[in-house]
Amino acid sequence: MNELSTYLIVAAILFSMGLLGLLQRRNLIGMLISIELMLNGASLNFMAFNRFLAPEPAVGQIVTLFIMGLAAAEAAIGLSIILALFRRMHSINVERAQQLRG
Amino acid sequence: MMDSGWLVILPHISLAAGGILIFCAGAFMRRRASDIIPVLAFASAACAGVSSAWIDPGGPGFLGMLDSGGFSRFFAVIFSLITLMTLVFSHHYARDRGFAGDEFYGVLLFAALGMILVAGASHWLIFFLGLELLSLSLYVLIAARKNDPASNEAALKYFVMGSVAGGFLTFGIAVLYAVTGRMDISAGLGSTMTADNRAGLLLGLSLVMVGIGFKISLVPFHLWTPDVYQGAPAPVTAFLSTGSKVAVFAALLRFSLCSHEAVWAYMAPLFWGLAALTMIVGNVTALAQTHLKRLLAYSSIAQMGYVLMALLAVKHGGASAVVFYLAVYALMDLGAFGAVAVLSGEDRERDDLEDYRGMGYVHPWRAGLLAVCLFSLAGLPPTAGFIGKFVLFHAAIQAGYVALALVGILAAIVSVYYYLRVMGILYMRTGECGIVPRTGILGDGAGMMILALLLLLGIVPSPLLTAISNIVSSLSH
Amino acid sequence: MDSIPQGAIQALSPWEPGIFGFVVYFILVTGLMAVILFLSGWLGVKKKNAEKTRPYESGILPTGSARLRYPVPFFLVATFFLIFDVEAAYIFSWAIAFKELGWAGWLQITFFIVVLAVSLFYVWFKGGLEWGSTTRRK
Repeated sequence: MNELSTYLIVAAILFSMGLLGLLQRRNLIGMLISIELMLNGASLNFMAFNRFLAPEPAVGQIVTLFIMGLAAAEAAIGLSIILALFRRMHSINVERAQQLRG
Repeated sequence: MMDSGWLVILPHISLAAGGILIFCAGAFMRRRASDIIPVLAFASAACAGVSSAWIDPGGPGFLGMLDSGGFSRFFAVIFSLITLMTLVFSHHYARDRGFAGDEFYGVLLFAALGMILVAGASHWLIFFLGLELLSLSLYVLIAARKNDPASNEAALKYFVMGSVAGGFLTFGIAVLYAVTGRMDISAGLGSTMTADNRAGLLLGLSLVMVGIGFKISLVPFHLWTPDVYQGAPAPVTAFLSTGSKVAVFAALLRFSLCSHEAVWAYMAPLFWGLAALTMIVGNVTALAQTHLKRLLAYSSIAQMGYVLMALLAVKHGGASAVVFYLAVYALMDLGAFGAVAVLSGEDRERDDLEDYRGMGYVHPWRAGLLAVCLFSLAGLPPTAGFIGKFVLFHAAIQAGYVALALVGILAAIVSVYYYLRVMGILYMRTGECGIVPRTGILGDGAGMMILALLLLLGIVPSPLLTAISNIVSSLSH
Repeated sequence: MDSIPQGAIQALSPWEPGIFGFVVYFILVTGLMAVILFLSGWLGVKKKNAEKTRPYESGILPTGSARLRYPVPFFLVATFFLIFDVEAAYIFSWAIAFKELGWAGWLQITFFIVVLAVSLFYVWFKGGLEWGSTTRRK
């Protein structure tokens, strides 16, 4: 097992853990964390590919930086939405948000 | 390179500067902010439209990351128009419901910027950044009515789904980057498929397709759509259903055009299945809907299925049909949700189909806009929707996808039923619908403009079709 | 020395960065912990009373639920911190390539920081930094 595949496996595990958590979790904060895990898996992939494969040295790192920034923005907006919802429902359980259906 | 660089991002700068100025105005000049902000928003969206329509930068900018050809400029104009219309529709709507702050207008402009970036990206990084900018802005826009639980819930659902899509997309782009070694879209997707990179390329592409499928709500990934469309404020739904879908579809069209034949051979069956599923499920589920916004949501899902069907013909000259239908679709959905916005009373959204009973006689013009848009969505002549559907099915049959076209035609025939049902409700005299106060001359004007455009494109479509085929042919070379 | 095989010397040598040392350390630590826990559980006298079941034995008596709700400003500040903190990453990455980027890079990062500053003022003027009262200016 070479070093690249170690990184890739860890990245894939992170991504799948995020996806699984998103499907399993009913807690909004937990879902937010799962989303971050998915993005981190992708970032790890970019870094590993950049280190081991890519011809242009910096591109993967730049992409990772951007993913970091976006993940932070996403978390901030997600937290604000959760906060707005919490003020109305007094719960962060996602199953309480079931008004719209049809 | 540097010269064209600045010209390329002129519309982007205009939108971004407009957004920042609006935020500044909202924070620092509290008195007159409510007068200035809509004007600022309108001006910067108009600037973006004008600069992308009339200024040809003559070459890709930003180190070749941002395309500036006719394709992206055409879509930039469409997005500017969508933004202008949304601004017009939401002006009264937002003020009456108390969310017309700087954040609403500013974020709307940022979302428009994201759309232009997505449609014009020739580099994965720009595509990703534009898409995230668009999605993040839309989360905020959907939650704009802070005190409305439905709005919050819709924002939450869109947030969760959008983030999952973002995760898939990012991971897919990472895999594509690994396999092809480039972040340049056309160079990456245009590289030939070998035994070495086949698995990676297909994995990356399918992950990216899952992300895109969420964003344009193709059928296995469509479950969020009706909830979000119903919960979001109606002008935002208009913006969301047109702008974000058209933008992502434009990007998908670009990917398909520049993908290598060998790659395309694997993608085409996938698209076939997705298109058939989307057309059938979208239309059949729409039959059972009792809420207008949900019905329109399912209809917009089905519309994406039709476009995806024509996307299959992209290697045989179907691209101009796709672009034409995307433009027409933007008009139709904008008009339909805009009509919901201007027909809604102040206290709540007019959502239940029964609330529209007899509306055609109480508000003939506004209900007329809705009726024409529904007519066009159903694909009945003499509207633009008819011509659009015609070119779509023509392209698909020309490329040899007769079976899929048959599925599509059957689905379209089913769809006529629910569109006409709404029409019947609008023009049945039996109901009692409250009178809605006027929502300003601007909203009516925008509605009339959409109505006129839909009819005009239905009767004389050829100028736009020719222009589009010129644009598309320049892209594929 | 000859009786020890070469491979064992390499594996035990502290100068080779390998996972072996870590594994030994891990096993030792886990074993020690297990032994201590087992012995203290086995040899200790088990007598239950109300005093012992408290969270902090001989400590301050707990009052109320531990799961109290934090006031909303905490979340707001956390969110702002998140945003402004991560933006520092861009400034750092500019800083390490400072010489190569030249004046154009300086101008760009200045613009970036100015926008950040504007957004900080935006938050401030909108009342996001006000602590205590939840009434916000509009």
